[in-house]
Amino acid sequence: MKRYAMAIDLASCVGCSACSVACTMENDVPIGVHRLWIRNTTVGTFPDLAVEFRPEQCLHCENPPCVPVCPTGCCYVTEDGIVDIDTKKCIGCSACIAACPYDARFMHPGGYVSKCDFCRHRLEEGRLPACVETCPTLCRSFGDLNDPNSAVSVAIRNADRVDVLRPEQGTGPNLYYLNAPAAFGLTSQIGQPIEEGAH
Amino acid sequence: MTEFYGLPNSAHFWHWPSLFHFAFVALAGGMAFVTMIATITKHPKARTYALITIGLIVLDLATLWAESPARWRFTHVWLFFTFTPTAPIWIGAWGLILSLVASFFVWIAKGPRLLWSALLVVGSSAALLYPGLALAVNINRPLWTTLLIVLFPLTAMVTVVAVAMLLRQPWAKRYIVPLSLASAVVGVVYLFGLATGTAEAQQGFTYLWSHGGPLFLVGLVLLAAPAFLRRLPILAAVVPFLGATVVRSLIVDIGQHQFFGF
Repeated sequence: MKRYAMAIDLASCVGCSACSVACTMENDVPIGVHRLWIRNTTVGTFPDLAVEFRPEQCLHCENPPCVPVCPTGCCYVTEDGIVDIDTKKCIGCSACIAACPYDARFMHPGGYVSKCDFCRHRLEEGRLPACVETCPTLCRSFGDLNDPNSAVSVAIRNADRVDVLRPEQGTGPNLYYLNAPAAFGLTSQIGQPIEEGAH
Repeated sequence: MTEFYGLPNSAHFWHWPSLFHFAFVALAGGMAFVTMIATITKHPKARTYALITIGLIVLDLATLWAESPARWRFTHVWLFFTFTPTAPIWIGAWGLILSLVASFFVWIAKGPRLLWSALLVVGSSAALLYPGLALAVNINRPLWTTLLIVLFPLTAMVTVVAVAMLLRQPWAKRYIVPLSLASAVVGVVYLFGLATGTAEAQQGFTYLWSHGGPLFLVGLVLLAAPAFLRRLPILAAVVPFLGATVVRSLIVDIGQHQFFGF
């Protein structure tokens, strides 16, 4: 069984935002909401400075807190590990938005919740997610985590450092950040270390 | 320094109509509870209470419908065609619908009273519990702590008993002081828990204080006030009603913030 995951090499990301634009175009994301955004944080003091360009989106968690709180079962995890939404069943109650620790979900003007789905429609055609295909520095790797030879498995294995967002929440994200530029790992929203890394 | 290209979706997801829902569901759940007690004890006003319960549930459901972004998509039917007991909103939906059905039969005085009582026990408990539960399950939002599972049913009962006092129900006077005092105490414990909790809880406390802390304190004082207003029954009802509504509304509104987005 496949377990889709993504890894983003922060040492290679230059914050060009091409992935965010590609995502918006591919998925027809409405104005004012985002499936994918870039957080640029300057850390340290001169002369020991680093800039972390960190793309953020749905992390397709192993234990997604958004799924059990959905009262109609419209939020679900596919067999290959993608956290998805059946918009025909969504009542727009926002319980999943409240539960997401990563602000990844938003209310679509059509009256249902939306978010990144790893471009599932592209995966079904054997293509990569739009953000992965677009990235000019090839900092994104995507594939089956259960396949040791997949691009994502290789990237994680070869990384000097692997982190996930908010590990203290116990969500088990399937989006990994590799080689964070700051010595302490990922930054929080105020430029401070996130409590502890994934590895 | 942090900048963004695009933004995290950290805006409020529940807006002011939701605050009316949290107020009406308190009244609806609480009134269903009163109807359940009245039905079991064969209280002469049981049918009247049942009718009020029906009205409040309909009012609450109408509020939910009005605030729903899916109001014309009619997807709400899925609430009753799925089994998702881990979702507080599913529990609440069933609690309200069971209370509605049972109250209807109590009102028209048809069918087995024992069955309607049993349905009201389950339905009113679910309706009273679910708002606090719906907030408390979000461990990512520091202002929505597990204590809300206690605070919300208590404040809900305060609002119902206050309304009953205004409607001159003789039994209500006995309960307003203990319920409102208990709510005030739990409210203080809630604040204390935030102020002395984890770093994120303390951030939450600071955020609550800067975005409505004084009003929250006023709410707690109003909840404690009936103990000193025993000879002024109208004030002893209105004051804790306002206190309970203020405290609940602030927790729902301000608590939507989590300290990850910006």
